[in-house]
Amino acid sequence: MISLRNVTKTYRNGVTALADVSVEIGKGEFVFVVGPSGSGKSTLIRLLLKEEEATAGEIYVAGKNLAKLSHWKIPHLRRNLGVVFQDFKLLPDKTVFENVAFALEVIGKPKHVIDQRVPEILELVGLGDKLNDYPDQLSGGEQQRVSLARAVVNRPLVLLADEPTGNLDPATSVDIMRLLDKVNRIGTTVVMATHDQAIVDAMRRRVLQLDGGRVVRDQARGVYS
Amino acid sequence: MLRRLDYYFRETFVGLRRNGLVAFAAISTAFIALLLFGMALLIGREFRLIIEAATGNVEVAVYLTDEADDQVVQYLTDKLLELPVVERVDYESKQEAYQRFQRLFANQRALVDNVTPDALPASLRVKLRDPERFAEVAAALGCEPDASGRYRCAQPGIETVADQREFLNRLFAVIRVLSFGVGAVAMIMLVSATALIANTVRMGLFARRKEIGIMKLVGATNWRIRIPFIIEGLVESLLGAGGAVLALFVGKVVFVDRLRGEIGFLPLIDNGDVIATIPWLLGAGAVVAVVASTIGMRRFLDV
Repeated sequence: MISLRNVTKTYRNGVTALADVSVEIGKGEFVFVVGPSGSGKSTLIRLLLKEEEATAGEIYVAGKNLAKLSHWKIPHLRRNLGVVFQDFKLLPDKTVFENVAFALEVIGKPKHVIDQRVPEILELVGLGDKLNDYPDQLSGGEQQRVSLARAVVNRPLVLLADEPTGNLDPATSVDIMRLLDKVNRIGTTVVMATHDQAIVDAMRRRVLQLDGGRVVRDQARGVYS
Repeated sequence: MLRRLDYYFRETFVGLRRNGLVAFAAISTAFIALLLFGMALLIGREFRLIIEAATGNVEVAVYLTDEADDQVVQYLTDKLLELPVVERVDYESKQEAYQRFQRLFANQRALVDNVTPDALPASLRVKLRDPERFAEVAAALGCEPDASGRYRCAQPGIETVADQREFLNRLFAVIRVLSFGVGAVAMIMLVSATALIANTVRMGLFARRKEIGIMKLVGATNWRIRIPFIIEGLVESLLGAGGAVLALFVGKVVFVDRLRGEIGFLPLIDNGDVIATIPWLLGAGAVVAVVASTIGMRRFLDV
């Protein structure tokens, strides 16, 4: 599903965020990417979204070579990728329903699909009764669940999560992890960058440890360190 | 498709409401620019109407002496028609010349009363394929300018020939300058309107950069993101164009129609002429909008 071959990313200011990284992630896998700040976790996610281009090496996502993917096809790549961030990135002037519907609307899904899928997915994340609330009326955990609903409502092949529990307390984080696990169990490949040792140790999934832009450990059913 | 249109217009409307004051500035600049543009068009039209009325679109007048009879007229007509540059030749009798004179100076009775039909010369009115080639006609009739610039002709039956264009050029130099001036100001205003609309589009983009960031992440195509902003620019400039058309009609009723009948010979633009400017104004408005949106969005939307 995701394949990196000798990928190096050097930013224009000379910082090398990833150095000669090679990783294969199969369909339906759940992978934690761990490591200290600046180890290249976020860069990895940005490369997969083609927000940044690799300086060297090849990246394949869902069978597509990202280096050869022309500019106007990027939106179609991203429709196969759901993304969740630490800061939720919800629109404050839209309701929970509208925030999720927005993701379908802007890729041109018809109204009947939106009206059916959005309540369905919000029900799944446990927000079936908060469709008309605004983000500032929700707790952090609830906001992250909206964000997660938005990421998966288009049934992506891959879910990328960049520190999704970074702003949440431990109990709420567990709720989010349960949902990510649920999403993974229906076949979605999940790649999650995180600092959260407790979660990684509890889940016992594949762990990819980065340090200074290099993969220093790749362990199935691993722990944080 | 309908759903998509609904989406675009909803987004556009939200954008317009969000930066209302800036949008208002853009609309009023577009309005003034297009109003001036329309005025330049109408002044140009008026210019052409006056030329047509004053000369019957004739470039050369061959004034005949009183001795010229039908035979001479026929001979001269044939001779002129032989020249490749001549498009057509019409004979104007003394009586017809008098009628035209009456029309031209209808509001100056004293002048008309003092002139009898006999005082005006009959003439051949010549239309040229190329108005610049007056000299060829003069030469063919054996006419040369004397010291005072008046043409003396060897050909019997001809009093003189006159290049009407030269006369008109002097007469309408003022109108030309006016028309050009208004046109130039209109161009400057169109550029400012473009800049202001580009600015509203850019402010709109800035105000919604978070939304746009999310749109890109979930896989919205660039056009999906751009089109509402283009429509926003289009709506602004077309509102300005609509206002300009309205103002031109009002101006025509208030200023032009009041002149009607005051100056007898002066032909005036009518509603049809104002209507004829509408496609030009809308077209100019659309061009302004598209250029403005393109400038406003440049380098802002790269994935």
